Amino acid sequence: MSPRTSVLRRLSRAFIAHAASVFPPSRSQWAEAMKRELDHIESDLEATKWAAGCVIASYLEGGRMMNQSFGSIVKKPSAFLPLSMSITALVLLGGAYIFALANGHGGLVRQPDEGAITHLWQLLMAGQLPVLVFFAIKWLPRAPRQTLYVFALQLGAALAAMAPVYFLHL
Amino acid sequence: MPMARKTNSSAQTRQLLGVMLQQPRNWQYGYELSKQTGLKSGTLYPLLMRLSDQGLLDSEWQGPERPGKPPRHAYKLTPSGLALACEMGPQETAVRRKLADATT
Repeated sequence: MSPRTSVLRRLSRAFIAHAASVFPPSRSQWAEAMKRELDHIESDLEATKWAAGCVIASYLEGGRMMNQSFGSIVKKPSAFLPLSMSITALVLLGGAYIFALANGHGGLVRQPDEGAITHLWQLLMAGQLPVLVFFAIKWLPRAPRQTLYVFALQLGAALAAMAPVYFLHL
Repeated sequence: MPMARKTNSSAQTRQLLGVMLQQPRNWQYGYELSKQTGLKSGTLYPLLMRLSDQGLLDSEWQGPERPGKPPRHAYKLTPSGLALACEMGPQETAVRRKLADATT
């Protein structure tokens, strides 16, 4: 075996090992199948091409399964409820701002006596906290990574809802 | 349990089913299927997994043909896989004839 071919064979084994680490646990049998198949390929160059393809397969499969899990978690009421509450709070503030502009008030101003919009906004933002806690307790142990992605979305939506309060000094 | 996609109409799927239908009774290996279909492993294995999830493909570990080699994962169409392959095969008539030969 020439040094070149030996390097290729080692590279292909490294590719396969990487692919096996990327595959979801439920696909471990398929990762093993690809690994075993490698030993039946005589040409080192062919083996390397094969292994590189297996890496692509593992990325495709890993991505597909992650999207499925993320998609199914984000549809849970405890995941989308805080999101929709933040968005409602943002829309509420935006609507009030546009309404104030249209009536010639020059936008929203901070008032000592908080109005209905302010109370609604506070209710929406505070009301999502228990839902978030419930979501974390239920889903973090089951699917930590996907739950964190949903958390990131929820945090983004909450920050977006709070941004006008900060920037408009309300 | 991975969720199975329902569509099986891609050209690559047709190609794979067509090749597997040429030897419907034989177990076939990944690398050989790749050579026969011209599909790279990055395309072939996701297809095999999907077909297996949908119950269209059987798989099993088989002992090595030659000593010193590891066991291999082998694949064969299930009856429903055969039926689907017959429906969508590019040379439907030839395929049906082969299937008829295989089952008699």
